[in-house]
Parts: sequence; C-alpha cells; structure tokens
Amino acid sequence: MKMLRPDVFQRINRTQAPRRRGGASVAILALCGLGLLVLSRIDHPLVHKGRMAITELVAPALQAFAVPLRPVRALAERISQMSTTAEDVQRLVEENRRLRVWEARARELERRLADLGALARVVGEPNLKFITARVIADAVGPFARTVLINAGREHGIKPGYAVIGSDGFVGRVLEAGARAARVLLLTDINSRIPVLVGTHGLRAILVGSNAAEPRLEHLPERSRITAGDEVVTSGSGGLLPRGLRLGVVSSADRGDVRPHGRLDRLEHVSVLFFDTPATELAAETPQRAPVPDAAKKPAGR
Amino acid sequence: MSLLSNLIVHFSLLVVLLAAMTPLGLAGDYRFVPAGLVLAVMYFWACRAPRSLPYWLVFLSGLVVDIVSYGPLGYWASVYVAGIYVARCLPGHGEGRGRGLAGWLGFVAAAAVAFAVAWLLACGYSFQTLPLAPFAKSTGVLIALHAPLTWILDAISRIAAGRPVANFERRG
Repeated sequence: MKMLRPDVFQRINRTQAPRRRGGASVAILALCGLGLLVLSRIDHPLVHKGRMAITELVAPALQAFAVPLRPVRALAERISQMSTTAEDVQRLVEENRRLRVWEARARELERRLADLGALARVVGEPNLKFITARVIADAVGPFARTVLINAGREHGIKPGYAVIGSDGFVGRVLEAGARAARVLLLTDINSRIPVLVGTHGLRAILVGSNAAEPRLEHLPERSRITAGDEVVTSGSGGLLPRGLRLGVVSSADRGDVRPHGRLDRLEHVSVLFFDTPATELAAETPQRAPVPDAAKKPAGR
Repeated sequence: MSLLSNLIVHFSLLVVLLAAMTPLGLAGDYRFVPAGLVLAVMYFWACRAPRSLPYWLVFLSGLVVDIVSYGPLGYWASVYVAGIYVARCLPGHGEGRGRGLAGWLGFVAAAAVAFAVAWLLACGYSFQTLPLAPFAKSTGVLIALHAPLTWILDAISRIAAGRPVANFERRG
C-alpha cells in the first residue's frame, strides 16, 4: 500500500497502536462509575455540590450550539409529525367543532362573571409577571424528565416557580443557578401537581411516572371522570397559580392524562413569577437529586 | 502522537457531546440516540486513533453528560467505558481497520453491549425492570446511523490530514 501523503491517524495506528486493552483502567473506572452511582442513589450531598455550577459553565456553550442545530431539530420534528398528521387533523377538526360551542358560552360567562365580580367587589387575581427562556438542554437518560433553560436567578427565577409552554403548564423550576435553571417536567417520576379535573372540579394529584402520560391519583371516592375531561392546576398548597391548563384525561380507567404541550419538543417556555410564602419555603429547602423510576416516595419533592 | 490528531479527536468529541445535550425534539422511544451518538464517535476514534482517546477521557465525557442531563453520576460514563472496551477487544483494533463491514459489525457489538449495560444499570438503579424498547430502538437507530457518521468523520480526518478523499479510499 503506497502512502501518498502523511496521515496522522494512520501513522499513529501503525507505530503506536497499543496492544493492551486497558483491563486495569476499565476495572478502576468501572468501580468509580459504580461508586458515583451509589452516591447518586443515596442522594449524597457531594453529588449536588457543583452540579449546577458545572451545568452553568456548560450552559453558554449549549446555548450557542443550539443555533446551528435548529435545522436538525426541525427535521427531527417534521419526521415525528409526519406519522401523526392524519390523526392530528381529525382530532383538530373535532376539537374545533367543540370549541366553537364553548367560545359562545365562555363569552356569556365572562360577561356574567364581570357583572357579579363588580357586585361582590371580589379581589381580582394579580397579573403575573413572567419571563420567557429558551430550552438549551434536555435529559438524555432513562431517569429524569427535566430541561435546562437559559435564565436563572439573575433574571428573578426561583425554585418552585411554574413554567408554561405555548399549550399550557409544563413543569416547575427545580433549581436555579445564576444564568440557568432546571425545570422538572410534569411527566417526571418526582412530579406531584395538585389539580382539578373536569367541569365538577374534582380534586386530585397528578403524578409523573417518566412515561409520556402522567396519572391522576387520590381522586375522591366514587368520583367519575371521563376521557376528554380538562385538567388544570388547583393552586392547593399555594405553590402554583390556580387554573393553569395541563392536559386532558386520555384514559378514564387508568386516570392517564395527556399533556397539552409536547414535552419532548419544548423550545421556549415562560416562567411565571408566582411568589407566595410556599415558594419562599421551597427556595429555602435544600434541593434533592433525581431518584429514578421505581423507588421514589410520593413526598420526595 | 501528533497534536493534530489529538485536536481533531477531542474537538469532534466536544461537538458531539454538545449535540447530545442539545434538545433535538426526538420522540420518547428514541431519546437515547443523542447519547449514543457520543459512543459512535468514540468508537470511530477508538478504532482509528486509540492513543488519542484514553479511557479516562471516555469516562469524563460520560460524566459531563450525566451532570448536564441531571442523571445519576457515573451512568453514561460506565456505559461509554463498556462500549469502548468492547471496541478495543475487537480484532484489528488500533490498526485503522474500523472500516467497511468489519467496522460496522464491530460497532454493532459495541453498541449492543453498551446499551445492554445501560439497561442493566438503569434497572439496578431503579430496582425494577424497565422497558427494553427505548434502549433497543435507540440501538437500532444508531446502528443505522453508523455508516453516514463514519463517512463524515472519515472525511474530516482526511481533510485535516491533508489527504484527498479519493486517494484515501483507494488505499483502504
């Protein structure tokens, strides 16, 4: 084989190719890996220290890198959408028909509510301030359903704040660095959201399971829910504002809820500045590491 | 060991690491593909320039993915080390033979072992049997992507080394 020009890779391979497979190195690193996994599993404070700091260091690079990757992302989304286009059209036609009826009713109810509010001198809900941020990283493993956004404490974000996408509530801020924050999605195994279901406003807890559809738990006994029932935040506990759209019941038997937003395709999200004493409490509470699918206690976060 | 080869290896690894952590809007069952792309790039360099890709660098890359993706530390790090160990055990490793069908079969073996380790670790960490489908589907996509990725990395390495693509192909 004639060498036409020097090739750095070929030269290295021919003259310096290692014959050892590095069994000892692999054994040491495997032990290190297992040790770190155990530390993560037992939620050791060492694991938390520096995680956000390192993430913040990487965040500017991720933000810059997201720009040239936009066409790739658009292509991936288009391929994913192609498989569901026919179903989506049918669903949207049906939904549009129902919404026209609801629109007329909503206008009438809005007018009545304004009249009654004026009569009763009801204190109105405060207009929430918000900030919109870009999603710069998401989880690639089987454990957490979180995304990283390019706004943090410097922008006024605190742990516990509600995060919404264009289609409704998507999660809440888990931890906030100076210029980046991590958002726990409502599908995460650790997510617990107090909600109201259907027109009767049945109270329940929406529990994430790392699957695409979270599940309703703690519904009142003998309560009936039906597929298509709207699910909104209840505001119980004071951590989240009341009435944020979450999704609809997709399976009444199992209590599965299909979120309105495509949580695997988030690009921009808005963080609502909803300050309550509960939020302040959450901000003061030490952050906990993600615990995977099965063995998480409901009151973990 | 040339500085240029190290630079190319490390730069390509950095680029694919950033790509792996950037949201690509992939459907749930294929969510491990970006992390698997890192393994594919590592496999390429483990075959072509093993000295430029020591195990500690493989481990460190996995650790960065773990930190930024908020996963348990050591998960992807262990998975990558397992995959690259398989690559280095393959016959012809380190002699620039990671091409063609042999290279592809080698990657199939490395990816299969790596994702088997990923599944086992995830099950062990969760204390439950997790669905195998996302791991299997992601492995399938990666195996399909191996050929174009190898072509791109091959072209980059040849351009960086100042060798025309056609000449390199004839030598192969």
